[in-house]
Amino acid sequence: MARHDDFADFFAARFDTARRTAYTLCGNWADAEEIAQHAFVRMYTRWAKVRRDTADAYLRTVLTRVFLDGKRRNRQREVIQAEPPEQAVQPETAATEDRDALLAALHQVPAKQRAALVLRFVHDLSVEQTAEALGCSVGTVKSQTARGLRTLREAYRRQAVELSVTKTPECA
Amino acid sequence: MCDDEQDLPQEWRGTLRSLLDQPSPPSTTDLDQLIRLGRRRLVARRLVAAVGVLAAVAGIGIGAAVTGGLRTGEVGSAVQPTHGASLTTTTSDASLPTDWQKPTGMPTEVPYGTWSPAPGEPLPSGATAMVAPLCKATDDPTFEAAGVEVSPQVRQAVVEAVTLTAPRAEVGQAVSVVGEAGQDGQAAAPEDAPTATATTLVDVTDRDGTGSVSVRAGLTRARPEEAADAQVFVQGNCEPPVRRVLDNGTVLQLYPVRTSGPYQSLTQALRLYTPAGMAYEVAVHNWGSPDLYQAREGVPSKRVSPGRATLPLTERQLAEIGTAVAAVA
Repeated sequence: MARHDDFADFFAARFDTARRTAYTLCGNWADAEEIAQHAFVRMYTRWAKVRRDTADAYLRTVLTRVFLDGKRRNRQREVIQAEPPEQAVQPETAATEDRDALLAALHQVPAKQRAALVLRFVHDLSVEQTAEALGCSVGTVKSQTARGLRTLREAYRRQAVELSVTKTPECA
Repeated sequence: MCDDEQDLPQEWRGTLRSLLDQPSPPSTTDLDQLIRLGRRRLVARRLVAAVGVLAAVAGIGIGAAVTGGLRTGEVGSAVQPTHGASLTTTTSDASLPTDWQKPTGMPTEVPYGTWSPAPGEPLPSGATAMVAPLCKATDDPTFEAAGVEVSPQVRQAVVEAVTLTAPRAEVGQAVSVVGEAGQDGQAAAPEDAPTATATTLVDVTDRDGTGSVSVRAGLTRARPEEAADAQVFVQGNCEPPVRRVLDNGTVLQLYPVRTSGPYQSLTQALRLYTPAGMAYEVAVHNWGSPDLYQAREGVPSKRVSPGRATLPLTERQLAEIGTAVAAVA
């Protein structure tokens, strides 16, 4: 029973963050929900062996691997997406525009590089912690991050150009 | 080696950290449901482990004899071979419950020809070339309406039902595939096709390879039984489907296994029609997402490989998945 209560507390405290992390990785709320669910189901089956002080790190590892496994399995075909209709409406501000543009650019970065960027800069993990979560070497994390940043910068530049083109008629 | 911290533009630091704080739709996952899935996964793992130990103790010879006996019994109990029991490799009871019946007064269609794999196209590993009767498919506007999407609840119900009915299989996440590749194993529509629809696909992998379960949503103006009657031969099937009517008026219609190109694609479909005017098609395929390719974003996916020799689920399992969808549709 204590095990169940422990897991219930962990779920209540962490599911939303896991879902948001998954959204940052995959860019679709329905898929993010599935990824977070799969990660928590895997956590549940191993809960007896999970140390409470490392549960967050373990969740990050499982979540990232569920995302990457899904990408590997589906790399040959599109994962949609039209925007989900239930997406929350947010006020148009410079900050949200920046965030949206950066998020859109992030989703153009290859999956493993994207995972490295999300863990390094969204979750603010060290290179060593990121390597542990991704199950690879520190050197690989550094090279994936560097390549990911290059791709992100180029994609963001393209987003900015598209945005300025879209806005031109309104300004004229 | 470059220092990635230095490569990150200063103005992006805060923005990246704020990605976790953006507005989000409400979650559809609750703890009970998650624990239910977790327990099923645990039970399945323990069962597999227990079977492994038993097999080792009993010895390969006894194990083979027992397995052979069970398989013989299953095939003998399958009610309608034309509905696909012999085209699957599952070890569960393949027969349908007795409340699935052929609609009365529906004749068998007369084939106008036969289908066989195109010369030179590879067959799934271990498959032999099949010859199947071809009958005329009736028109089917049900799934053409743009913007009818499979809801998260239905996606979730499909994943849960597949996990429950096939505990030994590895069940993938529900993902969306744009284009005709999600239907019938057909080749993709032209790249500029305006009506390319999204189909939700769940991979199902067992020892014989990866197959899948797909689901798509549509609309119908007719009452459930009328809609089902109008679509009795919509799949190009020669034998009529079997049907079950639920207490709330929802009609489930299960079609025979269909063989089609490209390669030697097997599909068994179940359609369900609700009193609210929704229609769903849940189908089992002998191919999965590894057999699809998408040239670029926004264009339909294409089949690029033949998949496995058999369907990953029996018609009974498909019926169970359809019933689970009906519960949330």
